[in-house]
Amino acid sequence: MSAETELVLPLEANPITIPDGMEARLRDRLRLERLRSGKQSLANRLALGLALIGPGLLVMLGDNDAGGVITYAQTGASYGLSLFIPLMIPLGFIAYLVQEMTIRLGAVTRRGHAELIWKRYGAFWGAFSLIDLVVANVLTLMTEFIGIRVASEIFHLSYLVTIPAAFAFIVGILLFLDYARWERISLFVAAFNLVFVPLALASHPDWAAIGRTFAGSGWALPGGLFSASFLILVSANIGTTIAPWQLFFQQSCLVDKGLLPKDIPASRRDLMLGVTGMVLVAIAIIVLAGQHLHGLPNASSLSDDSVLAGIGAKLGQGAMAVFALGLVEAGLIASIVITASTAWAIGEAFDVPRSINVSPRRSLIFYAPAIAGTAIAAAVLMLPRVPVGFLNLTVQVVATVFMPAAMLFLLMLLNDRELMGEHVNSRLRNALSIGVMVMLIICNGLYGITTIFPNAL
Amino acid sequence: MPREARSFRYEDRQPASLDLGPAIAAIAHAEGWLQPLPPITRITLRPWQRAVFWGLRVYIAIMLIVMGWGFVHATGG
Repeated sequence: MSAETELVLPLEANPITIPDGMEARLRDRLRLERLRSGKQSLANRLALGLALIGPGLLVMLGDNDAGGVITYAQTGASYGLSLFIPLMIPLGFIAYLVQEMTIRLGAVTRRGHAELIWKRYGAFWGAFSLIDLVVANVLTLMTEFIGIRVASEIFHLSYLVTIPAAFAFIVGILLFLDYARWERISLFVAAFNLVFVPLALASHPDWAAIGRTFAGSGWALPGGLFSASFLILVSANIGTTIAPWQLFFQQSCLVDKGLLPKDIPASRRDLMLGVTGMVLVAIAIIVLAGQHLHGLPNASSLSDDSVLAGIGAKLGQGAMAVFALGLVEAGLIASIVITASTAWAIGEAFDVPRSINVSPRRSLIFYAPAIAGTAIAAAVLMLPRVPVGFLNLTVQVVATVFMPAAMLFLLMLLNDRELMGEHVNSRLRNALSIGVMVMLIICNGLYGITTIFPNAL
Repeated sequence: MPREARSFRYEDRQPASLDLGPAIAAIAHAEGWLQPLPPITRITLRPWQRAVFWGLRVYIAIMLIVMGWGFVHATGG
């Protein structure tokens, strides 16, 4: 079921048949090539750098979603200026390690993640991974709409208006823009994720105390290493850093952008920029909450509105409004990228035209299920009474539960020499990736044990 | 040609896009966009791989039950 366009070029004797949506991709490639071969001026190089950023920045800033923002705030409120601040740096490296693999996989094979699993391992295992992705995505989207709902009420805007408006925006840019414009608008929204950094800087952070956390200060854990509250926060923080949708999103996004093996170095820089932004924002929120919300009752399960109220009480209404804006942005950018990841994955699984460059009239199956998933999440949050308190943290941990299976498929594909050629994983990268998978399983297992048997450890 | 396909010629377009024809053809040829992607042959998972995936499936099921249990107790449900 592939729609194709017969493109007749003046200098060609025979017409060239290109897949639907390819023309826009070729135009993007042409623009890149002209920038590459143009004058080596600063303006030209800057324009080339800007043209090459996209998937890496979007995936990592989208990763700091509304649920993630609240998780970081809960972490700071629970443990203050603690080991979670330095912990964000290795978590950033883990995110880079995992996401870099999707860059190579997408650029070398020119195929999305779901497509590779379906074609290489068959429909059964393809459905296996797709169901995990869709379930996790719909749950995660609910946390995004929680953020939008609670934050918009700070501005006296009813969630009955803001949630449908956010949904219309997410769906509108996906349906009516081509890839390049969708990416630029998404990057514009994502840039506002950084609003938490100046907010933290303006809150007079205790730099000495923050510095001491890198030397072991504040690493003592009330309740101990094996307390349920600590383990769930560790799992949730890992879950905000790496999640299954990120694997599917970045690989498919890179393929839709038309990036090739020669673009791998630029894509790595794009990813590193995104990881740096992600770590900075995470540390900023933990510092903000660690300094001003630490000691609040039920800190580890603070809801979005409790976090906002706490910020308002300690730092004033202006700070609360900025935090609320950041929360809306975090929910919005994550909803944009998660919706796109579902669309790409389903389009690849069903082998239909699967590009944001394709008109919705030509590939309803690419767009409709993803929009339906986002609509379900939005509809749930339109209900008057939704138990949102513990949901954020739970969903972050659920993401880590699905992650080992997703990572195993990723590792198998990255070690497939027939697909990857010289770009296969090194042994060190395999060992580190397996280490991450084992760590996820151990953290979740310990959390499970302490949840069911609180006095077991 | 599939039913949804449409044909158009560069001479039918707006003048602004006329000069893109040869350039697009050149980049399409140079970067191999007109070549079909190599087919991906299906491989069967080895027994140990199937065992690991089923183990992970059981792990996911157990963890979801535990998360549900934790969620209900934490929210006082």
